Amino acid sequence: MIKEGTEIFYGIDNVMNTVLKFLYQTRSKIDACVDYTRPSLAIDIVILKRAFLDARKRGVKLRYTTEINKDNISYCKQLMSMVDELRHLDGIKGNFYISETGYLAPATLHEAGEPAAQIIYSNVKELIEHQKYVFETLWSKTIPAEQRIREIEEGIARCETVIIDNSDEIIREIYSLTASSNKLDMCLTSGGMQYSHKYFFDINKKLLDKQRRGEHKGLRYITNIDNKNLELIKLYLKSGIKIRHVGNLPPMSFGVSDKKIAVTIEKMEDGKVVQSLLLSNESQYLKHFSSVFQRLWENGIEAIERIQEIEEGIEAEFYKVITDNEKASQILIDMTKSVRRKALIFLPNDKALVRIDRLGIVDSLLTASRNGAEVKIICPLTDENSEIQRKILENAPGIRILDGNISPYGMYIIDHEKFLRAELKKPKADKFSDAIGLVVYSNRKTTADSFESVFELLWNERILVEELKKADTMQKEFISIAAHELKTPIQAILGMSGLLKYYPEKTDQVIEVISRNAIRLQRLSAHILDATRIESQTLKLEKERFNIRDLIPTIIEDYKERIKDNTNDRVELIYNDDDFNISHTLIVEADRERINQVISNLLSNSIQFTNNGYILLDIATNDQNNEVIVTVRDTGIGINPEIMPRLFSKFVTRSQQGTGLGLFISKNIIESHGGKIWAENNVLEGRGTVISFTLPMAPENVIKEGGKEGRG
Amino acid sequence: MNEEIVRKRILVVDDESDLTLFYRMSLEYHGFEVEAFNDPRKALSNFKADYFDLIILDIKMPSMDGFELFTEIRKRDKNVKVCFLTASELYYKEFRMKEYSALDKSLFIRKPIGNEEMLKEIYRLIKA
Repeated sequence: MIKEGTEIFYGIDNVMNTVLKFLYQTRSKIDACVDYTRPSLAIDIVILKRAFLDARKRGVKLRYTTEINKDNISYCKQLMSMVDELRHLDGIKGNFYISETGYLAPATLHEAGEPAAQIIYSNVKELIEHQKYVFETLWSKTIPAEQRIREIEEGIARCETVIIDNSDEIIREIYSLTASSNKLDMCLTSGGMQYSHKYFFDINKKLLDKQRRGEHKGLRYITNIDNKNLELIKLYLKSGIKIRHVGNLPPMSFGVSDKKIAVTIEKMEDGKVVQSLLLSNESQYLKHFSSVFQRLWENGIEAIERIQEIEEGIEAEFYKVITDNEKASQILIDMTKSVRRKALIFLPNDKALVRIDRLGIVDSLLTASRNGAEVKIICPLTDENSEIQRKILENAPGIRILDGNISPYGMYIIDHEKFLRAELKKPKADKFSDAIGLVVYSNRKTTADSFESVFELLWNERILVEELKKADTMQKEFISIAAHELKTPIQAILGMSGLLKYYPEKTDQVIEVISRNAIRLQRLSAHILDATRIESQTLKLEKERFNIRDLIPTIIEDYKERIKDNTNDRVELIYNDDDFNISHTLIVEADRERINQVISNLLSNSIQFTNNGYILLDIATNDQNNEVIVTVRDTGIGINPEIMPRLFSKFVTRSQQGTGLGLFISKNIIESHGGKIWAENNVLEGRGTVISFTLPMAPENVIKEGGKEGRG
Repeated sequence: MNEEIVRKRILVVDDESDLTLFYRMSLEYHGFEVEAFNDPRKALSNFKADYFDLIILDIKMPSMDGFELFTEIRKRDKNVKVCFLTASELYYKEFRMKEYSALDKSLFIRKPIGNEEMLKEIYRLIKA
């Protein structure tokens, strides 16, 4: 063609001829912009390929751009050697070629692999200029073929950030992000939740199936859960999506997968809500949004808890600083009114108790205690608050109060849930609201629990202090009583020995008193020494194995004489060991001297308080045959029921002659051996006392034939 | 007419019989007329007002302590001299301080005490 014009050629053959002519006639350059289907034609259609190669040989500069994908990648690689520059552009749809003199545009319905059926050719200068601009515009957006090939072959996604306004495209992109994810985190506004449910519930379900097969790491959603979206949340939870609640989310929804982020920004435009979507696979955006999501997730509340909160009307957790003192007073009043199970009150000074009484709080605590709540108060106890102490003691004796030290703050912990702490600013103020400074109030379980531990620590410390004080008092009492007991026989000895010279004719009587008191003194001091050893836990036992049946007869012999003197022969001392065969040994591992001391103590007591009848010493074993039971039974005056409970305590005595320490020491000796000791009334005879003790028997006791078990 | 020697009369109450024996023997030797009781209640039921020159009371006794006995005696005899003979350190301090602070410290004789010394105290108290 020589004249200037634009023409259309029809038919595949014509189209091919036109293209070939174009290629062969070009002298300096060709710019080609074609869709992804054309590279295969350029290689597979031999004549076309030859034309390209020939143009190259002639020095024609070939710039070729197309969409390189995995379908045409091999063709494109070959093309690279056939053209000067091959570059890639996403989504090229049309085809055209430009030389210095002509413009060629094959028109084709998109059938891959088919040559065009018609073609436009033009040599109109203006048209060619115009299309040159179009080409340059497209060329400037291309990337080198090598990069694109690398991306395809190595699966590297190109780093890019785009903004999409088209709502259909937005849906497509989010869908693709979701489908291609290996994990997915979404932070959604309530609008975003609805949107997600409408368009993506199905793909989400597919991902959850993949998760169950172990092919996906799962979906996590963050949103503001309220009673409007409660049902939707439950649906999502059931399907397997993990959800947490975060209140006060900004009006922005975003999703982060392992590959991409998508952020939607909603804005009002012309009275409508318009969305744009920011998409990026750049690593710094991924990192940023991932960490934003993670931070929100860690601060979120599990959906189940949040649902429970909403459904049961439980209020959200808070931790507040209260600056309005009147408000703080009211909060404390309400808190203490609501006590159901437990109230722990730690007061900073004595007047604090008076101040909270003024607010009616003490009365609330009294009511709570009477209704079964546990109330514990630590408070400095002085005359200042003694009246209120009395009020508490009289009206709710279940409330426990311990003396505390002065402190700069007060604490109130109610029912393991509510906590209030008030700084004490004006210790002497009359009103609570005037006395307090900074107030902190919380209903967080964790807060209440940790301060409850603090309170219990303080409580235990206070109890320890009280115990120590008591022990100290008891110690002082013991010393003074012991001293008192010692002074009496000393006075008798001292006084009586002074009288010897006045009453030479009464020497025997005087000496008898002196000697009796000297013995008493000796026994008393031995007992006191034992008692102090027991108290300081330094009483040492020298254990040996011996047959207790050998020990007893010797003691009995000693006492048979004494009993004759003391009771004028009116009391019989009986030792019952007929139950056992003579060779039956009862081996115990014990301190012989001390066991002797115990039995002697029991016998002396019986002798002292029995005027007629008998004293019976009995020995037996228990059913399991691992304990010896020794019993001393008398028909004496018995034990006053008032004394019974304290019988084995220090300085309990039925007489003036005793030290009051005998049974105390006996009990300790027996218990140190691992035995028990106890006393009862002699019900059998209707008068008198029965005291028994046990001792563990050594395991290798010999039970010969004929040996019988006594009453166990 | 013979000069009547009026013997001073002393009442002693102490739950320990060895001690009352000692007091009686010692005081009688020195010319006192002695009435001694181990049971405070018996002492009260046999009490003679305006009779004794001195009453000596133990403090720590099982049925009634010395101070209670003292109060009862005072009800019956406003003027008789009473002193306390005691081994009890703790009670001495506490009771005296709290309830009976009006009682003169010199009225307390601490056990154990030797013969001579006890006599000296008694003479002093009677003369006072």
